[in-house]
Amino acid sequence: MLLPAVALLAWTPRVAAQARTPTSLVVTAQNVTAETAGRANQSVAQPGDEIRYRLVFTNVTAGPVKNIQFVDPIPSGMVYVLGSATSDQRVRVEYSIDSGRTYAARPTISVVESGNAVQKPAPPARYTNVRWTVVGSLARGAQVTVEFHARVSEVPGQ
Amino acid sequence: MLRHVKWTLSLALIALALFAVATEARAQTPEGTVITNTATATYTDANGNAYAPVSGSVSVTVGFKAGVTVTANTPSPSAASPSTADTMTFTVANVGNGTDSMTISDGISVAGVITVTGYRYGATTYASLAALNGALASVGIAQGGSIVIKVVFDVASGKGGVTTVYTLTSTSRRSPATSANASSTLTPITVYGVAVTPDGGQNVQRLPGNGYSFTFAVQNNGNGNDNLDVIATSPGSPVITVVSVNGVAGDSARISLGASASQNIVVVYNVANVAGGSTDTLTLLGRSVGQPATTDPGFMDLTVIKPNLTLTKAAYLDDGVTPVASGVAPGQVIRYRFTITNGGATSASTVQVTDALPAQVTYVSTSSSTGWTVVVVGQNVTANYTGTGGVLAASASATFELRVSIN
Repeated sequence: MLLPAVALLAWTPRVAAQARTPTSLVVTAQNVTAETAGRANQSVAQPGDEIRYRLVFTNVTAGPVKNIQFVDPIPSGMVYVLGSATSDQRVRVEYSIDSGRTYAARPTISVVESGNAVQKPAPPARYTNVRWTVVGSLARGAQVTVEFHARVSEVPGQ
Repeated sequence: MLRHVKWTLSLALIALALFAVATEARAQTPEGTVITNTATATYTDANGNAYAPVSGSVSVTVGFKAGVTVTANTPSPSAASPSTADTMTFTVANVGNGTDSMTISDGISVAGVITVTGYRYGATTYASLAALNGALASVGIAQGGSIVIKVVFDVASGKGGVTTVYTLTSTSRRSPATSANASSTLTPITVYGVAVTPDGGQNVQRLPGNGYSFTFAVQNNGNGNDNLDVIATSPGSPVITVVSVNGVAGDSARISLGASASQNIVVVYNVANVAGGSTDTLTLLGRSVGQPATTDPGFMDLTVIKPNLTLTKAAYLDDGVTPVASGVAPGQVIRYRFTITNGGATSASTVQVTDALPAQVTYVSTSSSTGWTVVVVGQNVTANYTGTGGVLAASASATFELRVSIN
């Protein structure tokens, strides 16, 4: 179980405030690379470190909810790790490479090979958003967790 | 239309190329960058009524990651051996994501070839690494920045062709530290040189004979190790025949000498039985194997010497002074004086004079025989020179005298 209080990365005051008040969406981050390496100072991330983002949605309403959809714009300075988006519920995962205007399960880009334009899988650096659409409903008080991994980019803006 | 498509494709390719270049050139995410991830969740109730989206955020602060590259700007510096105040430069770049400072260390693969005399940073040349590092301790290199270190060095003598590798290592002073290095490979230019002495003037005189020897000195005047061929010749006359060079039968041998080293080379030769006074020259040519055009001859002048005896026989009256100038009478005693002279350039040994007295005279006595052993049997005279050890020196003469009576 992952709680914001044990998140190993630096927290902004805003996040700390969320942790103290009831909310239906909690976002946490763990530095997987620092943990695996046993790095002494895990409070900061280095370029190249892999971060696991976990999003926990709690149904705090009086009844069941449905059509739950998470949208997470991959922050600037992070690069999505291909295949890392998962969930503890049955979900449909889609990605955007155009800042959320369109989504696809396998985004592609057009490249020129031997003078011909062909479609190729988009490289991870082009991913801009991850979207999880939960299939079915969520009972009152229940939770659904989704997560993905991203790497602190070696170059800014990716 | 087709032209338009081609133009579009070209633009796309150029854009891709520019993107690749920009990606290569950019630095890492700067230290201290705060990366905030804000996610949003939307939902409806069981009846499909939408509610306000909920969101959550988390931030990650980027810490320091060291990065160093070192580039050898002069990977193959050229320098003579010996030489001083040569230089090679290295660029140390901070490719980490924050300001850093560096510690410099170095290494030389082959000792004795170069000696580092200073490290120049900015406008100052530091005499030691400790001094340089003391200065660099307060030099913060910004992310993506670099410094240039100029290494000043001397090249030792006699190191032509000897390769050494100088490696400069730069280590980040911050934690976690990292380091990088680059190397320059230096091979001082090889200079070839050989000298063979003496160069004549010895006035060597030899009798005809075998197994004579003469010693030349061969020196490597180059600045590196070299193999040298030493070739003996005697041009111009058939007097000298070379037997061996440096113990090797024949007229040549090969030796190996370090820079400035020398070696005595003995040439064994024979002298033909030719006329005294004949001359010849024994030449020993030193030739660099590394650079065959580099040669130097040494030579020895030789003159063949031989003794050259002449014998005179003169008649005097019995006073030993007055030459016999007219007729003599029976019963008169006269003297025969034998004088032998060595007109050659060397002494003569076992000098012997024989004579058959005329039948008209009878031996009376030996009036002078200093340095001689004279034996007369009947008319036959045999005189052996025994003076000065039996050796008649060059230009020396020896005389003996006999008294005979006229029959």
